[in-house]
Amino acid sequence: MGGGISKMLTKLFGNKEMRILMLGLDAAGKTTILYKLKLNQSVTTIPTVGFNVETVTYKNVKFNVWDVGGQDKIRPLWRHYYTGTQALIFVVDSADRDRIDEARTELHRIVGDREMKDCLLLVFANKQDLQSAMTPAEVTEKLGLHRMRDRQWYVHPSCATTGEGLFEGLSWLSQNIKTP
Amino acid sequence: MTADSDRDADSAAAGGDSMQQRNVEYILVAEFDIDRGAILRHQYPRATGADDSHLAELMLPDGAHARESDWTVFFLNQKAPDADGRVADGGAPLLYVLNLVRTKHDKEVRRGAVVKAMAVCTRHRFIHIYQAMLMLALENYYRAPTEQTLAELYAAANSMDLSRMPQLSRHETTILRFADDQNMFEERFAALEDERRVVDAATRDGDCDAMAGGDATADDAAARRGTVSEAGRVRGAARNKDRRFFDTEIVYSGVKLPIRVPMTVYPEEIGDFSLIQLLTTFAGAGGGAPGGGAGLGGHPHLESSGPYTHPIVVLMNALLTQKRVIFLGHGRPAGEVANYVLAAVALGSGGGGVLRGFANRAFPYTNLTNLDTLLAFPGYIAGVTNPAFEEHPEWWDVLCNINTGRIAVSPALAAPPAARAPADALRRSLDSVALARSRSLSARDAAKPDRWNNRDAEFVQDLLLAIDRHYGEVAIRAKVEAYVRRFVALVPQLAHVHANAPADADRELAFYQARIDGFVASHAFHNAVADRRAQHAASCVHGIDVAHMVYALRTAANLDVNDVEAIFKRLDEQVVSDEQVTELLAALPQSQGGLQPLAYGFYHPSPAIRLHTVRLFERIERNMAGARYVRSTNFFHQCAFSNLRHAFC
Repeated sequence: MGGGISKMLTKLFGNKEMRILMLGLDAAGKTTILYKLKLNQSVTTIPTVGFNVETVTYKNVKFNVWDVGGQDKIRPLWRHYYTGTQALIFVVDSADRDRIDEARTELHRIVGDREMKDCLLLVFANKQDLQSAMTPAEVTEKLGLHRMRDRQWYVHPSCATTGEGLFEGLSWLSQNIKTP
Repeated sequence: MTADSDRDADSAAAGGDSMQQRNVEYILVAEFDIDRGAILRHQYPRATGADDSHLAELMLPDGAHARESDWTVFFLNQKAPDADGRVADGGAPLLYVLNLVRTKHDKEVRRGAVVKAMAVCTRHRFIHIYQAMLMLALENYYRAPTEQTLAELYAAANSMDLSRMPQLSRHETTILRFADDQNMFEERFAALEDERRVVDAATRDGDCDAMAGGDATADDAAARRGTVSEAGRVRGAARNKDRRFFDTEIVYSGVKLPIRVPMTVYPEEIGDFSLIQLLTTFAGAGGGAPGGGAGLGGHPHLESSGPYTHPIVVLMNALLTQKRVIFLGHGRPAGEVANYVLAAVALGSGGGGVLRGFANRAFPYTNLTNLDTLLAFPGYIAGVTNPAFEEHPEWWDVLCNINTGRIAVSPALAAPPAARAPADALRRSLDSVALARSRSLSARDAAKPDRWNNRDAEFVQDLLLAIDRHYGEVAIRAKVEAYVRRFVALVPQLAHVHANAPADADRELAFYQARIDGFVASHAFHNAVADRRAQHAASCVHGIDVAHMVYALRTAANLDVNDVEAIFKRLDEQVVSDEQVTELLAALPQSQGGLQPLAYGFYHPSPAIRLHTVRLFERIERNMAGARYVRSTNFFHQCAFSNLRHAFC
């Protein structure tokens, strides 16, 4: 039917859609990233009760971004959002050295799930504006990313409040998205 | 009753207020802790027995951070069915929870905001009366986050005086609900008010022992509370009030909150929902196949008129055959979503008054944290704001998207086993006829592909027309009640045994066979069977079905003289006592013309029928409500009554 034509148009103009799940420990900066991408302005965010979901269009790709609250108690709910996810953005507070191990555990738990086996992984080493921030290389090392063999992953430094690094991350996603 | 007395006993132990049933059982406070997530801070006066974190999650709805305030509704003591799908009777009563959540931005605190929620748990179905009180109380709690704040609230709510509220029976409730005359039971109110005034006076005249309250009786305790605003009430009583409500008040933190308790709620009507809103939201997407046109091969329980079944009929079918129904309102307040669920409970139960068991499986607001509980209830009716539910069709059978007005049937919903092959074959042949015709007709005509779809199509059209003409909630709910009642009467196990069954009953039965099959497996059906037995035992009028006789008189087209005489004779013989008259009146709601069907007996050629009618009317006139019914009949009937009365004397 009409679906054929729109598929052709999609191929011609590359109107890709991508479902993205953004996770990370509480106070890592997920919601700030989401609204910086969506509104291109820095909004003061408060802890997310439940989730936020917004659509961000960048370079002809429609990113459907789910931002789910990160408190310890609600992390078991993350798995309900896995179905159909093409990319995971894992946000790390680079200045929070105390909890980087906790972040690693959570990350490995997520990507170990069967439903997440094919998804891309983008790590934002966030809060680079802080003095004590770990470098992307340090974050890579601490998260044990080198041990992930069968997965495309990418670590990018970011600062959610100024927006530095965010669109570079999205570019990487849009270049590596697999067209179905 | 045993559960009640247990509770009362333990309340007495816990610091004893009175022997009466409390207005509010528990008060809960939850807070979104920025490090730990949703936390239950207080349960007052004691723990509800439900899981703490579960309560906290339901009190802090998804997206609470994005709005200033929101309401959620959920229930406690819901009973999950056992392995056989049966729900045990008895046990702790269902508690209705109304919850207010508020987000306060505050630059001083870490991460910039405080999210707190407060809930009342009550046995009252009219939970909305506590709204104003909760708004005040949550403010107070923000200022003084202590248990003392809760204690004060608990005491205030339980001091609300309902002792002067007449206890109406089910039949009386029906009479008042559909009455043109809002003072139907004025005398009952007045009697209680007078009685209270006398007691109050006595209490004031120096009976200080009762005030000290060592071993005060329930009456004294109630009277004590009554004195708070006694002056106001005496003034109010003189006025001509709307007696469909009982006016009282809650005095909380120095503020007098006027409270109007509705007197005409049916058992499955909870809160202040709008059925009209539910119907208008889902009326628009008509025409399209609910299966999304994906060629799923419609489920026979749901698509009773084939692929062109109206979405509202699909929803009705889903509720009656106990499918899992989700209302999704992404980006909407949880309180709004909850209202859709409460309206759906009223839709399936027949305006709240025909079937029961829907509230037990309703989750007006719920979220992912409650998923396991939800899936333990076959045929749950749930409200959510999280679009993740839409992506998991294995969790639901029917999903009603409030934002788009579309109703989707889950592709994962398996067809029922073809238990009744012949009926099924008939239905399929009807379907194929429907399909063949609808293909040759325009989409508009397709809404009624054949005669046997008309009942459903007419029902929906009638509802939407009535809404268009600004009919009120009560009128719309009455139409739904009539529709469900009619369907239930078709079910063989519940059908009335009567000689003059409508000629088309068999074909109607065949048309609804799939829905009946689904309904018979539902919990509502088992309740209906049990209720029917209880009703027969408790009915004041023995041996005859009053409602059915009235129905026969109303649609008297094919009754001959003997039938009519038999009906009037039996009514005259059987309807004698005051309660029996009340039961008869409940079958003759004023909104449907009141005594009109009986009054035709005055003009019947048969003198016997005229005599029966006069005797029946005389008895009706001696009933409190009946006298108002007689007075509201038209002038001709009243003249006929008075003339014939003298003639027969």
